[in-house]
Amino acid sequence: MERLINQFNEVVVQTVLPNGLHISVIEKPQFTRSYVTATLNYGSYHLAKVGGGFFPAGIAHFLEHNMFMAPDGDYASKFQAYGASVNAYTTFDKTTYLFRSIDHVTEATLLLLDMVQSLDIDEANVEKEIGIITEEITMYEDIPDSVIFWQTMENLFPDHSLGIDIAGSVDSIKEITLPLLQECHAMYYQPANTYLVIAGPVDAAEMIQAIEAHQTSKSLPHIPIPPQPTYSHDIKTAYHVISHLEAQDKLFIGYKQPISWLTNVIRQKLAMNLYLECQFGQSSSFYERLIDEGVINDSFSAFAMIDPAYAMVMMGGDTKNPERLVDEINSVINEAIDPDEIERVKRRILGTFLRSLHSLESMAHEIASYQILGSDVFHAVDELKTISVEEVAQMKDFFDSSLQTMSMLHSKGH
Amino acid sequence: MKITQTNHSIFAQTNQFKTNLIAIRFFSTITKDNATPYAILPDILTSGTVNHPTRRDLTKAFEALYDTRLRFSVSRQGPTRMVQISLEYLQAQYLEQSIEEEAFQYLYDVLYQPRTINGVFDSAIVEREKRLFLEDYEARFEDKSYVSNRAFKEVLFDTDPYGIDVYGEASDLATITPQRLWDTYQELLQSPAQVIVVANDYPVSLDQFQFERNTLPVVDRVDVCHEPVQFSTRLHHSKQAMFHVAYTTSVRYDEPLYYPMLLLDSLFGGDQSSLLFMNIREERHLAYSVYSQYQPAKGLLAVTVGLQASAIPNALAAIQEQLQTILDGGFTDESLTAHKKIWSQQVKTVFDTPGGIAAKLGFDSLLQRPLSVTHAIEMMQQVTKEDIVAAAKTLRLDTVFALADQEVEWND
Repeated sequence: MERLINQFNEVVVQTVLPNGLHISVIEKPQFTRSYVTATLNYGSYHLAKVGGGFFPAGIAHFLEHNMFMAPDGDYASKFQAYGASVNAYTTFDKTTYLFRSIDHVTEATLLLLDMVQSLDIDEANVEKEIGIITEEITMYEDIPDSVIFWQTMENLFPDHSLGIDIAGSVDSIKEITLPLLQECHAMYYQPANTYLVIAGPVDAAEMIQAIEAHQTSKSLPHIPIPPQPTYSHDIKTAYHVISHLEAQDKLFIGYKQPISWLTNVIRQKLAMNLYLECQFGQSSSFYERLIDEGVINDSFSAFAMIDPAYAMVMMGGDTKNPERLVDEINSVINEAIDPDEIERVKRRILGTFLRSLHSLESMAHEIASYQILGSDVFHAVDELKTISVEEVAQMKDFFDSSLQTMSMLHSKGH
Repeated sequence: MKITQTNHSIFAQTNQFKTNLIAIRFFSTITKDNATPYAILPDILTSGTVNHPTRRDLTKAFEALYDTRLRFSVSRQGPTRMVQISLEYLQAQYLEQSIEEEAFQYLYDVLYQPRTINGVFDSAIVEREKRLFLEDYEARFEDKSYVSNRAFKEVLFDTDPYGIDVYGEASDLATITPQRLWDTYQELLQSPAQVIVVANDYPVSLDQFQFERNTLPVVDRVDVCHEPVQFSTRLHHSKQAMFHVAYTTSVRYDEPLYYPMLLLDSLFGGDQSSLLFMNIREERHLAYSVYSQYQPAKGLLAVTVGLQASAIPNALAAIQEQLQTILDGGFTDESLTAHKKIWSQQVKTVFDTPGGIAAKLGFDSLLQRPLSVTHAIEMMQQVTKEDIVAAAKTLRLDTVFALADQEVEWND
């Protein structure tokens, strides 16, 4: 067990149990409630099966929905009995289960582990969930920003699971069966693939002791997780979507690089964030100029998703002049960056991070994310200070026109 | 946490956070005429000051102060509009120097030293912000929930001023001029105000701001009333329909059945263990989302469901059945206890963020409640099953509304 008091006086205790479960406890004695997450290093793009083949798209999200069934009822009621509210969500690369509670935090944490470590459903549950998730997918089809985001992802990754909606499609979820869910659960929900974070007014040593006792009483097999296939250089280009809804015209541009581009994920992630803020952020000359000239509005954003398994950047928003916006983006990519701008943006990011330390939610999610990357978030803050002007400037090489795509959304009414 | 209230401000002293928060709140009555200028004003004031003439200059200045946040917003508190400007900055102990003085200077500039030309706001800024307002306004209609809620409110409130959109209307833009906005700005500075500070120490820089504290009503005593019940469908090209059911109640803030009504709302459609969620989503599989929301300022309890249009008649029957379950006292003591616990936790949790503390203390002060962490929880603990049934008896079905791609066959 490692007890760390970092440069911001935050106490974080971390350990890995013999069964592989990763535990982090953030002691926040002045807070009223606790926030607990169990994050699986398993998201919608993990579709590979042992021995070849793939699971149907959307299975990680489908499984997340089904995990709320308990052997004798549902887990929501069990958490409620502790005064806790439980929830979950699935992203590209992670599935996170969480609860907030003031009392019975230890009991609720063990309940969260029970919930994550056993799958208690039958064929009828699977059938029911198909109906609910179909409604969820339909709901997102009515959101223009969601439609253009997923179109851009499909353009960027036409032959890879990154290009498919996290929830899958109305057709793909019909292929999901009970045996497939059980297979997924056995492989991806293992303790060694689980990162538990407890943040709140708790005693770390007592909490870890309780979890250790709980876990030793469980027999959990170890199954190797297959590597995920990487994506190709293929791109779908200049795709136009006609929305069935009333919507502003939108333009999104996406860029990717092969994973061979990744040499130091954390430094590249930090450098790319600095680059995007300096060139395209709200305090950039690009942003000011294009707002003043009516090319963009405050819906414009630029963000990166950099992970050991993928590297991409997306930017865009509502625009009445997509051609001009594309020209401006291409022009700014090649502009030099002012070192003073980088220092100012570093201060901003540091301030944002310090502020996040009094959000239990932010801390828990950041700690799990960096732990999965084999690092820790406090180290990343120190690393931010050492990112050089040259490293930030180098990020412009990411934007290779042969690995670029764009999507435009037009409303029927426009 | 130590809470001190003076004539001008509420000060919550705590060392729980790494930032200090100051919220200045101005109150005025919402009218159809003043909604849009007040909605645009925050964007004008954050577009440039005498010392930082452009929006970019201001953004850069706040970024350099370690992401000091200045937020300017407009919201509705019953019949009253609240314009809030808040400043949140890091405490000196986490930085190499104190940034308090500079942060307050920027706040002062935004509020009292805006960029002007010939004694009013710069017309170029006004025209830009009108355009951005229009684009933002049009973008709101991309959100089906917004479209549906807006149409529902039009049907529910009709000519009642409670239906005025505090975020403004595009149709008013032609009347917005630099002079009109300047007049609105002067009116804002003269309006009753409240200052809330959540900090480790009282910031002396705040003393340069002077406000008159006063109160305005946050409870609307005019009841919504449609007899007979109105059924309405608005056609919209979305794949999934939205469905709203409004019940009226005479129960407003802090009246004898107020806390029972809060618990009723929680039991009825408050979360994943509620009657509506368990019945409509989990048992009947009619919808992905379903929830209820009590609006004590106006005396309404509304249910919202996202579902296929064909499922609407069944959903309405299910909602009525679940309300009947409450009227019959058909919920367990265990679920009542559990919902009390959830509600109490939500109240306590509010005190885990600076913004939550400011919002809670500010609102309690407007309602002239005791400024206490435990008062509401003590009131909630006293609620009995009979109280909830009594609260349910005050509910009367008023309006049933659907936003769908087809007409709904109402069996009224």
